[in-house]
Amino acid sequence: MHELSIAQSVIRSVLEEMERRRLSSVKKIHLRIGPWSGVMADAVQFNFTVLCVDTPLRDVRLIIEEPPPQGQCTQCSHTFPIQAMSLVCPQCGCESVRLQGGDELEIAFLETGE
Amino acid sequence: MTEQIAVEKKILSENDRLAAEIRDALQQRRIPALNLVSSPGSGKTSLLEVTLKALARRFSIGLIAGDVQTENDAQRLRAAGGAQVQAIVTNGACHLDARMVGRALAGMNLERMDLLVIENVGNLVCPSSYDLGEDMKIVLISATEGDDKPLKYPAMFRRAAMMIVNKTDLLGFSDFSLERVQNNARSINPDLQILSLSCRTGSGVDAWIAWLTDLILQARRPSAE
Repeated sequence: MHELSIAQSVIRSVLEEMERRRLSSVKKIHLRIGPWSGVMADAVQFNFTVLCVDTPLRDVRLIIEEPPPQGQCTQCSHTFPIQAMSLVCPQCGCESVRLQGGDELEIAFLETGE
Repeated sequence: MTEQIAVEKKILSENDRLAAEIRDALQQRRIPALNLVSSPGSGKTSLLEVTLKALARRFSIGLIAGDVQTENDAQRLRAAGGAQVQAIVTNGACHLDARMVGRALAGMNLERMDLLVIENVGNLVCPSSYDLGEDMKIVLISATEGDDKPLKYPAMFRRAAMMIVNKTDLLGFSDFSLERVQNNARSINPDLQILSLSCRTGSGVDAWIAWLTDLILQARRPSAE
């Protein structure tokens, strides 16, 4: 259950970012959490809500994008989104595919204003 | 009016910053560092015991043993002898982070260290997210587990540079297939190095020791700049 410390890191980073940019409030926080990051987006969402109660972020909406991992065929270089655990190049049928992305764990952007 | 403010920052950037400091400190002293991860009970501590038996006379080894509770693993490693051993008791946390490792390293003599091995908390999920300043992650799996674990825990097997299959003396007593685990692991990570051994019988341990010896000697050699 390291989602608690992940949620704490998000809050700390956003508060720092607000101070640095002199923002009085933030409306939405957009995160990117890949399905292979080892982090469960739902649990981050839940922990964030619990931890925010006593902070200036209590009314902020956390929006989590979960980008699908990409595969790149080592033979024909074709790049494609990976849906299941089937690692076969749809272009040439080759089974040697290099995985790219899917392990994102990032704060993408903030939204301010009304 | 709404405004979008790009941040594009890793959530664990503070951990990554501390890990980079650790990596610098180790690289300056030419100390290769391994982050050993597995499920509970795959044999991380046993692997380190046989490693110390083979290498402790020749090299100065630093070990950091992480556990949720107790210093049992650290005590086993201290009893094996010949290494600097630091324990990290996480008191419930499911992984080690760079801050804990930095604190443990502060109590160790880096000037007399040829190799650092960090034994992570037994867990194939959370430790995959935390860089500890290591050169590589080594994932251990044993013949009493499911051979589909690389597919179940892809984040860890993707980030590892090597997989070691332990308890090969028990092959045949379970449905675990060495070939299947290798295929599953390579489908997640085509570049994964794979060794198989038994800490109990010593079978296959020579190849691991030879690989480690080479790693230490390569690190000592001045880089061609």
